[in-house]
Amino acid sequence: VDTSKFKTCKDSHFCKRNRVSHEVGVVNEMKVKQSFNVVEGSVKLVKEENTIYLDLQEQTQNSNVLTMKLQVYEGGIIRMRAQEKEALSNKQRYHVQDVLLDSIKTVPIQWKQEPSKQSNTFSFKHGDKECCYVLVQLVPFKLDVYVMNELAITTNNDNLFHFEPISEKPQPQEKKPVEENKETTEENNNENNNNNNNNNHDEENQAVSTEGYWEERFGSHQDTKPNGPMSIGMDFTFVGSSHVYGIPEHTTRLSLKSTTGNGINEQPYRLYNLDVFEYEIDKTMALYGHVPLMISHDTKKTVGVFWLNAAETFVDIEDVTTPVSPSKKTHWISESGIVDVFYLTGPSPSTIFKQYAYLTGTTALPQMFSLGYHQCKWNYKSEDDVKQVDNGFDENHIPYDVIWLDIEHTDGKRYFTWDNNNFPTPADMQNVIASKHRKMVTIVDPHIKRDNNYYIHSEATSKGYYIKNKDGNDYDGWCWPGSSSYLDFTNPEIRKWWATQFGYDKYKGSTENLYIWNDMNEPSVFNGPEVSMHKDAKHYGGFEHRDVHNLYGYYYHMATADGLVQRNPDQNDRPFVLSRAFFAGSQRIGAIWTGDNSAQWSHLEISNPMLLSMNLAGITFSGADVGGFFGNPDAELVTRWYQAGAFQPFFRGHAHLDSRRREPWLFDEPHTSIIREAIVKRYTYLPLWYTTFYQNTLNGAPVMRPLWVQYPKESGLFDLDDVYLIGDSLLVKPVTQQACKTMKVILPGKSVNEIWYDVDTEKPINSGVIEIDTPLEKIPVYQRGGSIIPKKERVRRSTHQMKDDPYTIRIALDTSKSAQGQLYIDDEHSFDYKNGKFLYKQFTFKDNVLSYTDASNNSANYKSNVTIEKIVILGVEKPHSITCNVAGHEKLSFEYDSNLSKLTIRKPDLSVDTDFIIKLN
Amino acid sequence: LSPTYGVGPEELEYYKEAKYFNCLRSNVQIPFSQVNDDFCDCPDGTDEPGTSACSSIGRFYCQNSGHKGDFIYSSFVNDGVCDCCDGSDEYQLKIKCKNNCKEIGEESRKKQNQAIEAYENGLQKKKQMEEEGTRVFNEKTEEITRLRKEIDPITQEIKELEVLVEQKKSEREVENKRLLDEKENKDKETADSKPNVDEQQKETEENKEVVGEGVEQPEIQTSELLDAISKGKDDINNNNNDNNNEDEDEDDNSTNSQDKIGRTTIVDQNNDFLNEDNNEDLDQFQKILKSFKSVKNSIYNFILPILPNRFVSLKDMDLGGLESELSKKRESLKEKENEIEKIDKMLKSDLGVNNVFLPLYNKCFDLTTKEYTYTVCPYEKASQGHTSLGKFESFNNNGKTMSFENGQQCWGGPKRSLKVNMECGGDNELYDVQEPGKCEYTIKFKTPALCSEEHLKVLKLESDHSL
Repeated sequence: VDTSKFKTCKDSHFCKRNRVSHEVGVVNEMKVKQSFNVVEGSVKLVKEENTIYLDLQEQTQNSNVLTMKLQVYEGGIIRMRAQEKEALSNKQRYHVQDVLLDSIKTVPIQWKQEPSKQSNTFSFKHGDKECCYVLVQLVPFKLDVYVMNELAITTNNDNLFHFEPISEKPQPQEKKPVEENKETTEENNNENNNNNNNNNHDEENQAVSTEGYWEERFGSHQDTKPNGPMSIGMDFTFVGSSHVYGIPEHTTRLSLKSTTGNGINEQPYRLYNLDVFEYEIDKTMALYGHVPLMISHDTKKTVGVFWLNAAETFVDIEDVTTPVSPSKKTHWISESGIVDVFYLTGPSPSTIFKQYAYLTGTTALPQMFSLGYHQCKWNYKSEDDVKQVDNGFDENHIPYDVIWLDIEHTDGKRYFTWDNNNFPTPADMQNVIASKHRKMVTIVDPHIKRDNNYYIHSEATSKGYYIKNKDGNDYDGWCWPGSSSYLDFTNPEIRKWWATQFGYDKYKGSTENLYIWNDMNEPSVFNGPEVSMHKDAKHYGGFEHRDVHNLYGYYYHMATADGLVQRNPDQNDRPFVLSRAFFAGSQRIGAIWTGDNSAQWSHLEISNPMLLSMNLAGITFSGADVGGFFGNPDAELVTRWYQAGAFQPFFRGHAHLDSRRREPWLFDEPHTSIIREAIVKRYTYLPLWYTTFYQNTLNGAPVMRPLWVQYPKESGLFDLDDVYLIGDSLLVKPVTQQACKTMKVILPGKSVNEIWYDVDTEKPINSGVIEIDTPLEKIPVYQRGGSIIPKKERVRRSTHQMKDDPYTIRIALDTSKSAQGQLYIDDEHSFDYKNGKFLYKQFTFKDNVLSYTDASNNSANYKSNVTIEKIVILGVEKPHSITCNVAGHEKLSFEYDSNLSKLTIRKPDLSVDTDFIIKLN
Repeated sequence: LSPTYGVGPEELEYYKEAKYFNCLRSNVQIPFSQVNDDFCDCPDGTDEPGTSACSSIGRFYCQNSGHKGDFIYSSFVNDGVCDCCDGSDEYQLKIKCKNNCKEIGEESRKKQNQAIEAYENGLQKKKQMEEEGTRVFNEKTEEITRLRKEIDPITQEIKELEVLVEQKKSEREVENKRLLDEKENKDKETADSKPNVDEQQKETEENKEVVGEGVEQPEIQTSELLDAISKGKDDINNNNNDNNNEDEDEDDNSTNSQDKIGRTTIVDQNNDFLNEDNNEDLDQFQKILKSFKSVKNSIYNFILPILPNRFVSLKDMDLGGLESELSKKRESLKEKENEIEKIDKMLKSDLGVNNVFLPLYNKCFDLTTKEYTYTVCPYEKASQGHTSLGKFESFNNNGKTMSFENGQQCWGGPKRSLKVNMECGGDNELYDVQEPGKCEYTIKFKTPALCSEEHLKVLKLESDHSL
């Protein structure tokens, strides 16, 4: 990466003047220190609004008066908002729109200690329990969140609350030009000279303190900043915590590193969506998308802070000993917008995910096909090329679901069009792919080629749909097609118009088997500042690009997904849109990938921490380009990458235009066979993936989970990020090191005597650290004792062909000889599941009885003729006979392997839509 | 489902009704009732030839009457996609498959026959290529042998000419010196005695005889020379007519070494002479003249036996004539050496079995696509328009691929390279150019040279099976 192209804190003036901590050569003091007190007598509870209002006044600048709103939402969520009490009429602050769900509801404030003249504090509960409350201190302002009677999160404990009130630009003062000043200096005598020097010094001081307030430069780019300084900042300390997570997307470890204090001198984590060419590992630099959610976890509690702001944001993290050791102090600085903070009070991992999902929603239930393997390359060159690759999978007996076309498929990078030479009959091509029940994805990017003969451009121009530059003309930037303009997706009308472009009549050559890929939506502007858009560009509602930057890709993704829903008359096909840029809430729209990684072992290795971080922040349907986008992986790397990708939520092979072809069969044996085996394994576990994604719609829990989420008391797991769980049952530790012959695997759950079963050998292993052999064909995967995993062990060309295939149920018993698990089934593609057309079933094995019952509170009714062909129980004693309560299946045949204590119930052939009880006698 | 459904003809015997079924490729026995019962029992998948139960490992046999029988993956059975032309893989009727084996079979047989025809045609052409290759190989072998033989006499001629030119040069120098001395002596004449001058003059005259232009050479010397020359000519003729290759090589070596010794001697002496101080006394000078005589004799004795006939006239030439003759000879030598090198390179190249690739030598083939014309010159170079895709490197992949490497540097990439993948065809013809990696090209080349009898047999066998 060319780091000179991207800003660090000191290159962004609002960060430079707000950051407390040290950078080499930079004063380690906040440039303009503020101190806020609650105005006496201003605390008011407005019951109809479930809101506490109060005013805050800044001590050194009395006119800086803010109004603050405090609310409690259902499920233990506290919201704090602050902005100017009286704002200028001609300037406004941006409030993030369209991210929070409409369904969120406040609850009545329950005082714990009402505000009174005698007290410098008041407090209110954030749940029904006395133990869990918010304590507000008036002078100076502080807000502390208590969880289970213990201080969990402090606010402004370090007095870093910072709020630059919107102001008018000062009129330039009458003064002599500097040049003239100098000339006179030379002519003057010594005394005068000294005086003049002093004057100059004062002016310089003033210049430094207001430097970057009303304009700033980066490289050759000028930011006119017509609104002047309006940044905000706040400190939050996670008390008793040594581990904070979240604020994706960065290439650091899952457990976020400290950036300051104790001699640490790192750049703060930056949250500003950018197209970063050849990004590097272990950097706090911004990447393509961001979620301003931080989660803290220690053995006692899990809590979080959601900083709802779409402007450029920096976050410093520091290990501190106050108020309790250890603690994590965090300092958040945003360039504009209001202070809008949600405190997620947990106190457990599962409640944190519920709370965050309550605010921003859960992952849209993916169509089954999108959980299969995706084959991409920049670029499949022609219809023949596409058909050859498609046939290649059949010839090599490798399942796959989707073939992708990158930008070269278009007519000169005009999206929604086709290169007539290479793709003369796109619909026919899609039908050929669809005849094997596979899908196609084409890329549609947000930059629009400025070509008057291009219908999208001419229509967008005539309707005035483009983002405007600072002078009010259509913004013109350089991207793939050359000179391009960018639609203003923050405008709902434009999103609506965009959605209609996906109609089959509009998008010529598209069919119902075509889905969409949104790239470059940070937005990427090749000749813009930091390869993105000028911050003084103008959006809908009079806001600047700086205010909405991190939302741009989100809105674009949203409009595209809406288009895919609306193109069908019945609007009953779940959309699939992959996006590179993202924000809080993107999970509701579609899949996300980690952008342009490289064919290096380090990039394979970091894919797990990156995806875990996104999963914690709600973006569960996410993946990394298998093989690495840039460069050419050797056969070993590509093989290990397939093995890792097969156990990550979104599974797509992709490669750069200049990279060699790397379809799975282009590598010598044994690599092709091992890659096939990895992809086949992916397909056998699809029922588990699908069920886990459904469960996310219920509870917001990550699909790909750090171990501490499942074992929150085992502190040894808190910084593990090379091993994870799919749902709560399958532990995966992909090999991500070159020439790895053996490795250590930590099997968690020592405190609960967990047993794990190697899915290859089916042998039980006690929790603890084990050392295993890792020959190239080994993917270390373990089923948790106590879990029941639904699988489909007949693997076909693609997911669609497996839809009616029978299930295999794998039961792994724990020390108490019991286990449980769930199975979710629907039509795999439509929204009918929202109307009860699904099955959600509970498997429970206890006392040698397996019961299969409804887990949906009788809300589900889906007819299915799919059966269970095999039930495998590991860790069980041999029964004399097996009986079932379903007519015609009373006696079930079985096999028993005494070495593995493995029971296989052969062909129970029970229908998945009928409850049953199976007894081992 | 019948236990034999989906079983290939060669394995039918193992699926005869019995109490137990032995998995074909693993040591597991199961009740026969579990064959084709839609549950995978055998680790090798052989108990479910007709279902998809052993999807990852099993295979299903399509009868395809009218076309040829074929195996498909078990996972394709009842997957809603018609894979067998007789539709036998979709018996659950998720999709209605037409039985179009007859049409496909006919089409396929037609194609197969065409392929066989093309192959046979290719094989014939291959024979022609081999014949041509071998003929050219032999011709070139002969040519190179001839050329090599021609080289030695020319080399010797050049040596002799070089000596003669040197002699002439030093003679001229001596003469010049003499004239100069004479002039000096004349100046001194008044003081010095005459006999001395006479003696000097006599010596000079003698010297003139030795290195002179041959006009005043004594007769005996001339006849000796002529005798020697005719003898030498006979020797050369003998060599040409009688000696086999090995002897020739030996001869070459021996002449070369002699040549080397002789040359060194002459050059050394010349050097001695040339390095001599100009103010030498007469004694010294006389000594040199004597040594010249002996050198002259030894050179003649040495060269005479191998001088060709026409060399005789050389003695009549002046320095200019000798020099132009020398450069002519050198040119002719260079030409022959180049030709030898060229032929040698060709003969030493990998020309395939029976020199089958030799007819491609010095030939180029073009393929014109929408964007470019690709040119491949086997054994030499390849290009895309004016852009070099590389110089010929080698045959790889058992003689099935020609590699061209180190072409023009790619912007932000490697040097361009091309792999020519060859296959049997009726004519030499390029097609299907690809760029699988940046600036790494592949192209296919149909050539009769890649046709083989064995493969034709396979093709014919396949064709018989499909009937």
